[in-house]
Amino acid sequence: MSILLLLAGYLAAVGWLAPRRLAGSAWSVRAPRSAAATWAVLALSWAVAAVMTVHVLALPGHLRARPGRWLAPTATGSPLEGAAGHHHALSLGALALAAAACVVGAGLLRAARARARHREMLDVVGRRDRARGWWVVEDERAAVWCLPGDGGRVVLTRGALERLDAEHRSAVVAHERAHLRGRHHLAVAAAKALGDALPWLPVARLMAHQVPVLVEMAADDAALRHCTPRVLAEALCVVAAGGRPGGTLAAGAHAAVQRVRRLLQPGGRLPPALALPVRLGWWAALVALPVAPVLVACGP
Amino acid sequence: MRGFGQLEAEIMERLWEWGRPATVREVVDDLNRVRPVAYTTVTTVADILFRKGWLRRHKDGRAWVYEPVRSREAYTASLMREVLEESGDQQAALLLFVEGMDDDQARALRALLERDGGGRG
Repeated sequence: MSILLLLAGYLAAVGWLAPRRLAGSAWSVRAPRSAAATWAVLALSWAVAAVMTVHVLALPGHLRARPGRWLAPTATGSPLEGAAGHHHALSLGALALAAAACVVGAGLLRAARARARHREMLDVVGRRDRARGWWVVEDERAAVWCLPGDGGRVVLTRGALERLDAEHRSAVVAHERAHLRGRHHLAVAAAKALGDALPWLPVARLMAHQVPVLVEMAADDAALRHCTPRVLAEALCVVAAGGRPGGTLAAGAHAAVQRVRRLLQPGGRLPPALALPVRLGWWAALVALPVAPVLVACGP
Repeated sequence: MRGFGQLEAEIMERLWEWGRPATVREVVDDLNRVRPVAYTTVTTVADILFRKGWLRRHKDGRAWVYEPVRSREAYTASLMREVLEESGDQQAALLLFVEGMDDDQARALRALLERDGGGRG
C-alpha cells in the first residue's frame, strides 16, 4: 500500500508539478539544452512510474514489504518474490515502450512525409544558390527556415535576403545549420507526437510546447560561435517584423521576446565556467530520476 | 543521388517562361543549348511531373504536349502557406527561424534592442 502511495506521489510530481515549474522557469531559458533533456527525462520517468504502478496493482506480492526494506534486509530474509515478478515488470515496460515507439514513430513518419512534399515543391519553385549554400523562394515577406533530411536545406525568402545584410544573413544561416547538425527536428517531432497523444498529461502537453522553443534557443547559442549576440538579435527582429503573423501568434511573439532578451541581457545565457559543477549534479539527478520508481516497486 | 529534382525544375522553368503548351522535343532542344540531355530522360521526367500533378498533357498527333497546371506564383504561394501557417504536420517538419509579427509586437521587440543600446554590436 505504501508503495502505491509513493508511486502516486511520484506520478503527480513528475507528471503534473515538475512540468509546471519547469515550463515557467528562468533557468530553462538560460540553459535550453539541459532543459530539453530534463523534459525528456521527466516524460520517461512518468512512463516508468506508470508502468510500475500497473505492475504493483497487478502483482501486489512482488515486493511485500515497506519500500526501502531491501536497503536493510532483516534476518527474516528477503522480501523479494523472485524472478517471476521482475519478468512481469519487464514485459509491462516493454509493452509501454512499444506503445511510445509507435506514437513517436508515427509522428516522425508524418513529419518526414510533409518534408518530402515540401522538398519536392522547393526543388521546382525554389532557386538554389550553390555558392552560398542556401535556397531562395521568391516571396516578399521575410521568412527563414530549414528543411531537415536529404542533407538538409536552409531556405530564405527574397524578402528576408533583401532586409538582412551580409552579417545578419550569416548569423541566421549559422542558426539554421545548428538545427540541421543537431537533428533538432527529431526532438520537436517526438515531443509533438507525445503531446498530441496525451494532451491531458501536463508533462507531455507542456513538453510539446516547450521543446520547439528550447531548440530555437539552443540553435541561437550555437550561432553565437559565428556572430555576436546583438547581430543575431537584430536579425531576429528584422525577420519577425518583415514576416506575416502566423497561426500561433501570441506564443510565437512571446518566444521571440524571450530569445531577444536572453541574447541581450548579461547572464541571459548560463555562464559555462560557473555552471559546470551544477550541471554535473543535475545530470546525475536526471539519471537517477527514472530509476527510482523501479527500485521502489521491484527492489534493487 | 537526389533524383530528378534539378531537371524537373529546368523543365517547369521553361514551360512557365514560355507560357504555352510545348512538346518534349521543344524542351529537349532548349535544354541542349545549355547541356546535353537525352530525349528519353526528359520524357521520363515530364511523365513524373505529370503524375505528380505539376503538368497536364494532351496528345497532339503522336506527341504529348505539356503545360503547367498552375503558375509558378501559385506554387510559391502554397509553399509559403505551408511555412507560415504552421499547420499540424508542417510544424513538426520544418524549423522556422522566427514567426512573423504584427506591428505592435515588432515594435516591442525593437524596443528591447534599443534599450540595449547597441553597445556590444
